[in-house]
Amino acid sequence: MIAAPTFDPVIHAPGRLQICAILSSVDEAEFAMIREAIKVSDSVLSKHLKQLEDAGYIAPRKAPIDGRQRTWVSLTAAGRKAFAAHVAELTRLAALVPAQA
Amino acid sequence: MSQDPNPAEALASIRQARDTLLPPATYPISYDLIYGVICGLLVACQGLPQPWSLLVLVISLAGLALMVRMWRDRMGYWINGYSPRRARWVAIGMVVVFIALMGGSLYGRYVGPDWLFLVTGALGFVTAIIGGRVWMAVWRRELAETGR
Repeated sequence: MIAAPTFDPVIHAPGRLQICAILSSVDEAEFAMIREAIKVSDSVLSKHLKQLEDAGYIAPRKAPIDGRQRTWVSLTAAGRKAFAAHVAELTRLAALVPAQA
Repeated sequence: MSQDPNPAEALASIRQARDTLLPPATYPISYDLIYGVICGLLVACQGLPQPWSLLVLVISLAGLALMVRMWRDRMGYWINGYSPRRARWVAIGMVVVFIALMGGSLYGRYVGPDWLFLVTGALGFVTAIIGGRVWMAVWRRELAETGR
């Protein structure tokens, strides 16, 4: 099913947009992997994740690996739906802008 | 990118983020080979007498679990073979072939010839390697597209 285009200000911020782009393509991703991918600090990533979690778009979980706690994050069903709708809106808006000569 | 990206910038940043998920260009063939051996064993073990059938099955499943863990640790993400919209059809096709090959192994075990499991196991090995590469290629194309 194609999502109805809807602009989502929570997702649109550059960092959160890229986090959602990564999470929408996988089942779950580890905190450090996301941090390296979008090139932000731990604290900035934590803030972005908190905002997405507060919106109900992501679900974090802790898992021990080699004796250390790691945070894994996944998009919720609501998050996947909101991201798809946001991408649909971006695509619609981009199509309205004439290509540069 | 600006704090309030225009639609084209935003779509480009989505593509850029997804590119980071792709396995590196030096993606080791050893993953394919190990996966192929595990799948080959899973297929072939159906044609073995007990207790070898159960023993090889347990070893294969343990190897599969170890592979999943290695992937997660190394890549930092996990994707189920059935999650991507289009690539899942490759995974489903592989399962159909594996089930047919397992049926062939069982046929060899109960009807004969006894060596049939060697053929089906080898076919399972080849199917896993080719199927794995095809799955990855389809998933790469899916990632390259912006809308999902």
